[in-house]
Amino acid sequence: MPGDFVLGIESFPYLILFGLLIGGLGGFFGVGGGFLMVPMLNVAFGVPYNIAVGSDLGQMCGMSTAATVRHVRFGNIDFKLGVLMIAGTATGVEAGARVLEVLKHAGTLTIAGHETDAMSLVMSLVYVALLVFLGRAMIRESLRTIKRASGRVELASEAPASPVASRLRTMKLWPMVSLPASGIEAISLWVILSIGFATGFLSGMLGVGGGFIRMPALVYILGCPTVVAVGTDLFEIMFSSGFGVLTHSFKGNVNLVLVLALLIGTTVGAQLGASYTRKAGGPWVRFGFGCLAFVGVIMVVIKLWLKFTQG
Amino acid sequence: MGWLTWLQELGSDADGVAPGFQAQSMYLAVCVVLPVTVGLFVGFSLRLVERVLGVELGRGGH
Repeated sequence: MPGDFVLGIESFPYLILFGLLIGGLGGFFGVGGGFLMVPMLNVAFGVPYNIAVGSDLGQMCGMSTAATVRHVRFGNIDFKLGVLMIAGTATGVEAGARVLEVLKHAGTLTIAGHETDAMSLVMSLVYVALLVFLGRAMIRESLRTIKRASGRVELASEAPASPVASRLRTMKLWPMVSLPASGIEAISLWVILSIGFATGFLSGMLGVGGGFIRMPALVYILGCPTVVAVGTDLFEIMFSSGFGVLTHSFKGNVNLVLVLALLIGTTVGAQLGASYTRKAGGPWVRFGFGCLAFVGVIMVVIKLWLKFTQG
Repeated sequence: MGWLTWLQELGSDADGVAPGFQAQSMYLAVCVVLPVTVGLFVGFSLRLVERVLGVELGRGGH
């Protein structure tokens, strides 16, 4: 049962090393690393998904606070957009955390004579889908960029918005709000809240920052300039992870020793990883990131298979 | 490692699966205060290092 999990203090140094590795990879690839952190904690240390999600949100809260403190001086945060989005984000985080609670108490499932706990099975499958989606998107995009660059074709700085994104952006559903800091004259509040809810749900259930959805949504749906989207995304992650760690602590899903070890490891690792990014080309870094996601898929599938066959 | 033991003991009741689970107020407070404090410390320390050394450190993820 997930509640039986006890993390020994003797694991503390290994968890710092693990945080260093994931933080280093996150820093190198320019991502938070939550999508790798949670499944790998389960695979490598046997941490139940509910504890991994709650504790990873604690680690993310610290990292995003540090990043926002550093980013705020650049003035690239649209505070009005960030505050408006918080309502949707908080609701989404709570909904995601409650879905995880339902899974935590769902007990075991018997499939083809093999017994396994429902939370591990569902979360592993959701993570496999998420990692395949992210890895595939990143590999396709990086290969396209590499191909275009070798053909000396000039790249557009931003891809054109899809018809759905354009329709959402021009939707006249009351109340309409203006976002002067992002250069947006009028946009429906419901669009902002929906983006917040979707990313918040992923945060609360999976322990990820949700930047891979929020960033494109801010740029292509709302029409934010990319620099403002980056700053506002950081601000939003700080609140979603802060609220996430609070609501998960009410549910007993936060292991403080794990949070501290991950914070120490990822803080140092992210700086080391980021310093090496400068020496590597952008598309190749994204290609490596995509491949890494598939390594994560293989590890989650092997762990799930072993658990399923050996009990 | 007394503080680690303290952190572990603080969360020892945090078994959300146990019937009638109620999180302790100290546990709830530390869950939020610990990451925010570390984050503020790291963020301002890195800003100080950048200002003193006149360099821009890597941003990392978040």
